Amino acid sequence: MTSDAKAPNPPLLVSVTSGKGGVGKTSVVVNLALLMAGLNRRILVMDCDLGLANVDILLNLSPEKNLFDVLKGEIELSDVVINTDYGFDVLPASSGVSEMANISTGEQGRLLTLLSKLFWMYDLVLLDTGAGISSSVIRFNQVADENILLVTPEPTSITDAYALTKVLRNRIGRTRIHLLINMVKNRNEGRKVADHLSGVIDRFLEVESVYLGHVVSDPHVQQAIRRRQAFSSLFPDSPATDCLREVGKKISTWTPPAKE
Amino acid sequence: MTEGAPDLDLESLEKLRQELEETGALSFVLEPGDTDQAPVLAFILKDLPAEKSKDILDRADLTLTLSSDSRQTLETLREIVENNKKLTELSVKDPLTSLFNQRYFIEQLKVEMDRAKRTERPCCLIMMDLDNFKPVNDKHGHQTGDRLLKDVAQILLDTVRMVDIAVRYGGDEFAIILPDTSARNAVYLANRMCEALAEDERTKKYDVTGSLGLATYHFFDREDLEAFIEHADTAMYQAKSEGGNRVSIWESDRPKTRPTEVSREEKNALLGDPD
Repeated sequence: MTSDAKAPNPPLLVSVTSGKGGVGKTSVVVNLALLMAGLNRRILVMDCDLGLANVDILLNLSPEKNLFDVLKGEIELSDVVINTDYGFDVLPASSGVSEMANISTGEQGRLLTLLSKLFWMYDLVLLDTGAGISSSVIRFNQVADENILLVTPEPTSITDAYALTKVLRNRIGRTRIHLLINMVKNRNEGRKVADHLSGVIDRFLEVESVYLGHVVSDPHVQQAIRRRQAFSSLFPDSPATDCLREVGKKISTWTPPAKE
Repeated sequence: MTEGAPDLDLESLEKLRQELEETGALSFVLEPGDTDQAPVLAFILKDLPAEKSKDILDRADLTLTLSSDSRQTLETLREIVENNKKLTELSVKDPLTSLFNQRYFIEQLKVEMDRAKRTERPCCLIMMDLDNFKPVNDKHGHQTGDRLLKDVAQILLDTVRMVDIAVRYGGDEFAIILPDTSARNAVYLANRMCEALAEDERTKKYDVTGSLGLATYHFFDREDLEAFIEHADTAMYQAKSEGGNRVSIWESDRPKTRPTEVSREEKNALLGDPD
């Protein structure tokens, strides 16, 4: 456990979400966590992608215990969390997160209590939601204080990102999202995609869309994924890492809302 | 009262009584006090005790003293029934188009709004104004105009459902009450009417189409009858201002796109050239 003491401040919960799959969500989450851990933050990545246990695979992790074992009193909460070599912790989907949809409401409540206890041990919790507009995606976005919408310049990614924004607005009343444009040629393209999407969001939805940054297409990313390692660790000077470092700096200035 | 009447065919009389009641305007009174709403026609038979007949006479709008000869009585009653039917027709129908008239429209709209309140099911109203009708009158004369109005009425009657109440509101303006109908279904019906008018040879010939305005009344709506009509009217004017031959929906009744749905307009904006 990288966080030995309980964080004195309430944790900031940030979701990274996308309308469409395959836009590099998990990769962004993991590398963002790594870079922000370098900024002296206690960080937990919660893998909320119920379909695929992404983070486990990407980081070559094999979780053994889960949250139900904690509920049974067999293990401690901290035993469920995996400490990575990168200075942040991971709560894998296989830890019981993925079962949340199928358990009784009583158990769900106890699990949520457990989770919020866990969250308080960190400064920042990054929620890697699944893609799309399914109810679980919406729910995890609702849990988060801030939502980062990951978009690529592809038309389908843009329309799906818009659809998700609309759902976040209409279903859970979100009035602000952060746009992170992935897999762009350069800064200019990132801005252009963000401005375009923001323009449409401004026109049709009462949502403030804030430009968070861009990540350039970078062959290092694929190389790192094949080696099941984080690109920002393997290639700390790669263009993609530089981009994400900027993003991490911005996020580190965000403050959590007052919580009980 | 019939009890004291000799030689009266009770079965025939009962049948007539039912017919009278069905016409709605008249009622055969057995006991005074039964009829609070309909005009009272009292059939006083000659040998009715004076005390009882006075009671009835006090409440009756029209009295006839009938002979106790059953044949004559029945004939007189039959005549009344026929005349009454004609009167009812005249009082609720527009003579030119045979659609219902405005007076009946107001009555029925009130009834349907009450029903909507009670059943908690929506009721819709379409107001329709013809596009390019005035030039027909000016160019081809009023007879042609009148025939066209009749044709439009027929097209409407062929398009609406049995339960719908099609009305000539006045001039070239029509109204259709859609009882127990959701906005979604009403939009479908309104579009069907609009298309039927645009495609029928009889209207096509004069380039006459319809501007339709649609409003919905829900049981929780506080609006009154006037406001309901005004909403449909406003929507109709909007359809007209947008070029006619279309259906417009009263602003606050417009179906919200589902939260997950991205409209064509939004999609076009998204996929348009970012430059």
